[in-house]
Amino acid sequence: MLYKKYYVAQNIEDAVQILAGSKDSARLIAGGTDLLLQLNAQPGLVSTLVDISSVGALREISQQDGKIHIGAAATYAQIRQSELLARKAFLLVEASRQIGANQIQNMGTIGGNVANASPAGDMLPCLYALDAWVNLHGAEGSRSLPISDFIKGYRQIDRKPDEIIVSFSFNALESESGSAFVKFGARKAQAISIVNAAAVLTVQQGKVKVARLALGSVAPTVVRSRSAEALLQNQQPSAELFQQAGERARGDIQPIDDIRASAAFRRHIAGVITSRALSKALERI
Amino acid sequence: MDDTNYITMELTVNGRRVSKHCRSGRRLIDFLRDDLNLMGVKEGCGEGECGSCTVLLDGKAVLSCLTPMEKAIGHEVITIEGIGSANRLHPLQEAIIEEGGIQCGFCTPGMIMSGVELLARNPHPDRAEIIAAISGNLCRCTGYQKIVRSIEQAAQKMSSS
Amino acid sequence: MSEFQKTISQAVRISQSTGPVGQSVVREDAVVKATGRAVYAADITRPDMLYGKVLLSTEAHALIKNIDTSAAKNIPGVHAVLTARDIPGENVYGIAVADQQVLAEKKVRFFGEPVALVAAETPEIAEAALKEIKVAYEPLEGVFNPIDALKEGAPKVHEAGNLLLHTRVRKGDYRIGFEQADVIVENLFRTHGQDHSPLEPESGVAWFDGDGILNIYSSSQYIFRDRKQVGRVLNIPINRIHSVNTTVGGGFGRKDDVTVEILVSLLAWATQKPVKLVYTRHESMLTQTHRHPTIVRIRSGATASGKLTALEAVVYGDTGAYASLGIYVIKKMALHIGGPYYYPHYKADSFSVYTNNPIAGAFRGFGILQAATVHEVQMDELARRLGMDPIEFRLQNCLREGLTFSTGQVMDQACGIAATLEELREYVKRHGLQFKKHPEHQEVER
Repeated sequence: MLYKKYYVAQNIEDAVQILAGSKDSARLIAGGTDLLLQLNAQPGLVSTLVDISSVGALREISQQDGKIHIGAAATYAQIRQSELLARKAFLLVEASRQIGANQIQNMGTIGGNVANASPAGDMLPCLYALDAWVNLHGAEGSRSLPISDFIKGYRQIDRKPDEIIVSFSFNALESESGSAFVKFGARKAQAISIVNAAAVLTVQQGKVKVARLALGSVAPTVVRSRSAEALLQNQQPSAELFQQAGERARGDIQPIDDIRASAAFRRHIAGVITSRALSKALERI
Repeated sequence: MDDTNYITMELTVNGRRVSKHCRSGRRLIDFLRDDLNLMGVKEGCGEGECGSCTVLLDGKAVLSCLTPMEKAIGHEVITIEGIGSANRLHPLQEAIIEEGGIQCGFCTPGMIMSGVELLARNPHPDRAEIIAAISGNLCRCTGYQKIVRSIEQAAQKMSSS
Repeated sequence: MSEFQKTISQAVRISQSTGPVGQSVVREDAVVKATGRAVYAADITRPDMLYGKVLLSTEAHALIKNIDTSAAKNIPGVHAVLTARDIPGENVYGIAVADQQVLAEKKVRFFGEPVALVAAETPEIAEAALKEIKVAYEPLEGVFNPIDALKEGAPKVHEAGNLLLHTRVRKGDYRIGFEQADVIVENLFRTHGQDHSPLEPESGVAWFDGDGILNIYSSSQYIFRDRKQVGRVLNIPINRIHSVNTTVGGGFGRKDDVTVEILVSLLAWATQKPVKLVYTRHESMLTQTHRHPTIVRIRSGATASGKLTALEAVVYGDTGAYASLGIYVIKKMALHIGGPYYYPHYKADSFSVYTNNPIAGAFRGFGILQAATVHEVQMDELARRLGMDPIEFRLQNCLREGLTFSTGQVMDQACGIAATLEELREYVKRHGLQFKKHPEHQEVER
């Protein structure tokens, strides 16, 4: 038996109540693509599962005023197919197409990817580059915090046991802005990122006004490449500039050697895909 | 030792209402194979890598080895057994037979489920879309080309009929 | 019968009557496979069936000091816990050389070697029972590289030493051949191991009939050999063993040797109930055979006019802890390391070596894939050094009728390499293709 009890929450309050009542023995489940792997390896690791994937409010993707809201239980397939996101945050669409393959995209959710807090999670650099906020709801009410504060470390998040990630919100990318996500994995599908990069670029009157760059799988958590961002500020975008930004990015990261790649290889690739992400983002403006 | 919990699984499988009292806390693949004897659902890796266990849950291709069985309660599951039979084959089943897209056959059910889902949401897929749709299904025998052609041929069959 | 069925059955009939050569053939089992009705070993259930599970070694090289199965045996629902001591016949098998223990007795030789067996009423109980078996290991120094394994004083994987087979192939005098060479290319190659990953993991179901006949339904490439090997371990004559090959979900050499047949039969014998044993992917990758990793040192020489003169090669094949078919795979590499090309002078040595790595065995290509990697790189480098077109260079040197192979065998029939290369030359022309090295590698000289 992988787990003892399985609750299907009907709404957010319902889920919060079950969580609050069961202390640490309950785990939230949405797509389950990461959690079931853990349970298959360690049956009984968790006694109660609280399924939030049927809660309609958690699956919505919408825009209010200038802000986009993505429900935590929105699947990668939903994001991949969202016309709104294709126009206002294309990097999320681009990343969702490359997570696992179709089946995983039908099952897995953005909230699950974030809560899992793997340094290689493909949604994370996108949310960092979007300067997204995480909206939580728990027994003591709601709160919001920036994604970079929410992710506290390697597989560590700032979430109380009775809290649920409700949604992510960020400013919609308007005209003069472009975005891109580039993934480097062992193959095109079903691959965990060896390095990934997300870029958001706003160009006005021929000069870079906003540049946000985030890299994954190069440190315990996602890294914003501040020195590359500083370099780009107020500059005229060009291939050379983007290449220099890639070189700066190499200096901002602390990759490790592991089964997927060596630190040196990751550092090299990080520079390559940083400039590639910037070029793609520029093309999309 | 025996802390087994039981549950009643009520759902629709291959178009039929199913109500089955059984052990809880298992994967959907275990329920389909062990309780409903739907042996066409194959387990190749148990880790979501190979796609052999692909079934449709409310019309969407999912991995039954990474799906808790309770997730299917009140929903609709379709397995390879619900796609077509020897007397009434689905156009994709016909196409994969004609094109030689089957060798050992172990990936075939999952491959067909992914193809069926694709053709339902996109009746005229191009090659790149077909490849993307089956990129979560591993095949060690065919080299994929004949499977891709099968899906192309099935799309033609379905649009001309 | 639907139109489609008529078409299919007609196609099957035609291919059966006139033979399949020259025409498109429809697999006879295509319809059952396309409808999910084909029966693989894991799909078989029997009334009162138990589930088998195997305890795998957590050490690569260690002495077994003690195995305590008492707690596991006491778990309700557990019907048998077996160790080497419980085996009724000989605790040995192996397709080419019987050097492998069914269950580790005194020591384990690789990480994942089967140590104990459990049969229980559910897979979960079997799994829980495995956790209750306590094995006391005394770790030994291991050896994980065939070159290290051949060194004096290396840890011994088998008591008789780590060299399984040394194959020598000699033709002409390689020293003369290299004297005649104007260009010599020398390289060191390492080819990696590989998992066959047949999509269906190894599986089997076994039970005894009332009259004492053992039935084994398994995913196998060679049931007759399996039957012989099972009989030896269970101490029953092969005419009391009924082996049935179920639909096989891919083999590629992986299922050439016994996989789960002996283990599941032991459990059926001990419990006198039907037992099913299905490996998980993880267990499959640990316990089953792989492609041989190899290390090859090679020199090939040619004259300025583009004639091969000599080859000298040494091949080290890592066969892992047991021989499986590693004796023949690596033997073949000594024969084929020159490829389908004519060398008047040829000297090759291959060493099939035991290590504490996972077992290597048959894998399609059977040593030829590793050899091809080597000889084709050698041919390309020689052609480049000679300033010749790589296809022309190969055509000038390929085996033809009347020429001798590395072993001295005269090619007198079915020598199709020249025709193949000519076809390739036409293909390249037709499609306007060009051979070129990756620019980054172009200027690298060794």
